[in-house]
Amino acid sequence: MRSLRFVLVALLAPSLLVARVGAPAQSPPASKALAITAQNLTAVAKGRDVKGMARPGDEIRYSLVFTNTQQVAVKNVQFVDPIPQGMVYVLGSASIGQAGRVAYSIDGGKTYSAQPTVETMENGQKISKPAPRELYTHVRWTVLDAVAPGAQVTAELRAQVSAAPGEAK
Amino acid sequence: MFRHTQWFTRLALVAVTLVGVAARVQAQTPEGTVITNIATATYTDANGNAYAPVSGSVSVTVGFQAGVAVSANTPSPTPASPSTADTLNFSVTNSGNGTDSVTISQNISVAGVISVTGYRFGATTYGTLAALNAALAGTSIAQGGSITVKIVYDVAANKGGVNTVYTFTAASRRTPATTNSQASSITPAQTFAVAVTPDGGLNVQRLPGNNYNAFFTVQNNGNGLDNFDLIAATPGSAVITIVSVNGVAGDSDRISLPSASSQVVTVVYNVANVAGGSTDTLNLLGRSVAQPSTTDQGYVDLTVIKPNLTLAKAAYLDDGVTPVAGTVAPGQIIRYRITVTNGGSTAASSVQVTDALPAQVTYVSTSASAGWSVSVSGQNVTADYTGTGAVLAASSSATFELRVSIN
Repeated sequence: MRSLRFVLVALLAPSLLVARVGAPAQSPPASKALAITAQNLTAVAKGRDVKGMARPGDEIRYSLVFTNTQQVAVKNVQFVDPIPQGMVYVLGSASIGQAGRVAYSIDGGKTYSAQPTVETMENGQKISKPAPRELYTHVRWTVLDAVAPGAQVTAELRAQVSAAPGEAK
Repeated sequence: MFRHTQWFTRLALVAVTLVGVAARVQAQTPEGTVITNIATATYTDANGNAYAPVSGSVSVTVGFQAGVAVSANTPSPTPASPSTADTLNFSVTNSGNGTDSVTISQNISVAGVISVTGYRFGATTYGTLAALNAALAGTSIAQGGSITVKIVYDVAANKGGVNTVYTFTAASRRTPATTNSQASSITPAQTFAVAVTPDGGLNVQRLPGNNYNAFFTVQNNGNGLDNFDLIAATPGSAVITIVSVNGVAGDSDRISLPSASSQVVTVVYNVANVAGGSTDTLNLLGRSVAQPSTTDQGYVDLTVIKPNLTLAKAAYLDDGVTPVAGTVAPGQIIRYRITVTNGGSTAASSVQVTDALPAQVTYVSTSASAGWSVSVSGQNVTADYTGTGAVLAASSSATFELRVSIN
């Protein structure tokens, strides 16, 4: 199990680079295999929703929908979503619509953990603490089951537009 | 090998984390920023063959979020009362995510303590809020930038210790608006001073007696409301005994006086029956409760006054001129002249002379007895002084004569 995770990380690293730089050019124009939508939950709640607009502190729900456009079932489906610059992940918000695992990276996608921790010095002792949400750089969803042709898998996370310290959420 | 890899990974994680904390300092995302979220999905087929990753993206544009943060740089000043051209400083920081400008409003909690005379912004002092706001309307404050406004004000007289709160509110001029307020709590410094009068000079003369009133005026010469302990005292002689101060039995009381106001305080006292001419002093000390080192003492000098009668009796022939000398014969009429003199410092009233005549004489009549009412019963003569209001004034004397015949 552990060795599998390391393999996945190894596979992922180059693919991320591709995604960052070359993804727009590679995405299939007609049948979108991966669609992302953003919904501004705060703006909706406050009745000021304008599509594609957000203010600092607003919470955005990103929905990622993967569609198997292949003729055959696929497996080992993994989503990776880098938390965009200017946004902060909302702890515990990542979910997936079917059997799967969620893991997080706080080091730019190099390593993933279900519960990232940081080590700090307190009273001369090293203490491991849950990483603050500001450190989260990537969220990764791993689908456990095979996905049939034409079937969809939905993953979700929420992130907040960075606000000045002390500003309301 | 596997264990080694795991250890190495953890080490790397720690190192990266430390760098990450420094690099990802959270800042407010500026207005106009386009946040693009690009996600990637990877998958294989049933045989484990990898396919090209697929990706999708969505963009969100950051709109304007107003943010105004006011700080009071002079939170609790203590200017003099009165004083002029005192200042309060307020800073307004644009904590929103875009360029903004602000409008200022103010509130003063207690009227009459301070009066704002100007608003200094930059190098200019504006006379009114409206003028200040007209200038601020044209002043763009960048995200994170700030301005300072100096409030210039005067403090009224006699407001020592009277707290008033000046609240400064800045409102974003953009939509959606937001406001923030901060307050300065102004307490003009209190000065303490008291004056108690009179300071002698009244030359009060009193008969021995009870419940005399002495009046003192206590004046608050400080600039604020103060309480004063009033303490009456005498320097220790046995003449004056203090009965009450300001209606309160005993030798002290406490009063409250607004600044620049005064109160007449009555001290009730008794004067002992001591020798006429005895002197004493009645002091009244006023002492600030808030600042006990602030005191003043007024005083009244008092002299005890009493009448002091002496009586002289002389025998004259019936001509009323020639003193009796040598012998007198039976049947001869002589006059006893009785003179009462008041050598004291005040009039004597109810003056009465009684005289038991010797058995060898017989009462005949009175003479030269104006001002006296004489009654005779056997050998006993009683004379009441009835002249000039029935009082024998100080330094005066009264005389009457009894004519008697020698038996």
